Order: sequence, then C-alpha cells, then structure tokens
Amino acid sequence: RKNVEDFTGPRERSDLGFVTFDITADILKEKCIFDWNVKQLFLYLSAEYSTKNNALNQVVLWDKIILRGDNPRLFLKDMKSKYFFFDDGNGLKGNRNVTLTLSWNVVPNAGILPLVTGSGHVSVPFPDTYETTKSY
Amino acid sequence: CARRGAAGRAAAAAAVMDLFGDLRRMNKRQLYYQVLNFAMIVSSALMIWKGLIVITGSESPIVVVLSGSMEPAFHRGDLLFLTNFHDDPIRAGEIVVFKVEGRDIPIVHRVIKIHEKENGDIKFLTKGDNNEVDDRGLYKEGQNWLEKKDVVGRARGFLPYVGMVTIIMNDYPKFKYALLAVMGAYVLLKRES
Repeated sequence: RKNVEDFTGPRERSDLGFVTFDITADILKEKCIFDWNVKQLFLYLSAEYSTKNNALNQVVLWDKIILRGDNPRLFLKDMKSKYFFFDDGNGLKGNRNVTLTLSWNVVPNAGILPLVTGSGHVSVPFPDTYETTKSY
Repeated sequence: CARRGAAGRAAAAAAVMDLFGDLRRMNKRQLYYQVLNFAMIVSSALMIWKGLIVITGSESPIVVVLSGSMEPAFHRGDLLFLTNFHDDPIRAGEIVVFKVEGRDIPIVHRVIKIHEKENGDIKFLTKGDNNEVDDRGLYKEGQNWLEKKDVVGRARGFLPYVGMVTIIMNDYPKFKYALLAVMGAYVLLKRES
C-alpha cells in the first residue's frame, strides 16, 4: 500500500491500496442460476471498510461479465485489481478491517434486476506502513 | 386490371366520404362527447404517469437507454424501470441513472466507488460497464463525485427493445406527429354505437 497523489481525481495525496486475490467459483453448483431468463451475470469484487473520514467506503476492485453459455467455472489466481483502489484520504494505513466481498448483478432477458451479495467474505488487514518500492 | 383499379379507387373514395359524412352527421352533443372522451384518455394517461412518479419517488420512473455504454447488459432502445426511495442507500455495484448538473440527458451507469459519512452524506463514482474509464470525464468541469441529488433513480427492472419507439420519434419528428395525428383522429372519430 502506498501514499500516492490520486491522479484520477482531486489532486491531494491519498492512500492507494494494492490487493492480489484468487477466485474459485462454480456458478452452476447448487442450482442453475442461468435459467431461461438470465442473459448475463455481472460479477464484481468490492472492498468495504471504515475510515476516520468516512463511515462507509466501498470500492469495486474487479469485475467480470459472464454471459449465458460462458464457462461457468472461475479459477482465477493471483489476480490484480482492475481498478485503482484509492481511498478518500489516508484511511487504508493500518486499517485492519477491510472486507472483500464477491457480489453479482443478474441481468435478465426481461424483468427485475436483482443484486446479490455472496455469503462469506474475506478480511484483508492493511499494514501500518507505506511501501516505498514497487512490489507489484 | 384497369377496371379493378378503378373499383378500388372508388371504394377508397367512398370510405373517405363516409368518414366525413359521419363527421358532418354528428350533432353538437356527440362532438362534445367525443372531445370529452379524448380529454378523459389524455388525463388518465397523465394521472398514471404522475402516480408512477409518486410511487417510485423518481422524477422519471421509466427511461430509455440511449447509448451502448452498458452493453452487453443494456442496449440502445431498452426500457428501464427506476425507483428512487429516499431511504434506499447507494451501494457499489448498483446501476443508477443520473443527470449531470446542467445537462438534461440521463446516463445509466454502474456505481463503482462510494464514500459515505456517518450523517449519510455520500459521494460516489460511476462507470459504464462497456467503458474503459470511469465517468469523471462526463461530470461537470471540476466535479469529481456524484451526490444523491444527481440521481434520477436506481434501475430495478428492464424490458428490451421497447424504448426504440421513443428513439425513433426523437430522431424522426415527422413520425411522431404522424403517430399523434392518427391516434387523435382515431379517438375523435371513433363512435360508440
């Protein structure tokens, strides 16, 4: 984790987090989520945490679209976050309670758009110091 | 062949004369009745629309997707049904419809970042599924986050293709007027026997 100027937004120094993760998922396991009315699944991994500045922060780190007919088994290892994990401030340093959750948006051929959060999550504690070298 | 053509034209002319004949034969009372009927239909439609606005809490509960920035989930011409309940929190992953301050076009994108304070004040960032970058380039000059007030509603349901009619009417205004004229003529001239 580093303290870097957030070049995608306001020009102040904010914490930038680096997370690597593995995802193993078998979407068809229990019952088929891909029924006749499901066009695609929008999967996303979000990090949720609290800081001094903000009571609730949620940042989407990674997402993937799974279309009907795609391979329903995911076996991703050592994935890096797709998007920059910038905090609004310096709240990542020493934050012990950053929770990663996998959720998905079911997109039907027509009808309701449910948003489902996977049960089970992973807690990722952030170190107390900044990294000065690029370890990515 | 020529005789059939003439007979066809005569039949068409007779139908048109019938229509006008009908119109002239209508006495004043019947005409008022037709107009009132028409007004009723228009008022009912308006009431249903306003009712939807109240029930959903959104100023525009039904919107048409105008761009391909959310493909393959939504395509241009799809219809979206929105709600905008005040107590509904905005969370990452939700699909929101928002308007950039000063612009009238609603944009349908996904929330990818939220920072919410204890008192409920929230600022969030959006991005279209099909776009490479987030929406900061779409926001107002100097604006880096969206707030609750920019939100028109949250997408709760959708119907494909149905909104194409609105897009066609927008791109070809003649079609819109023709459609309105036909509908108006039908309602005004329809007689309950």
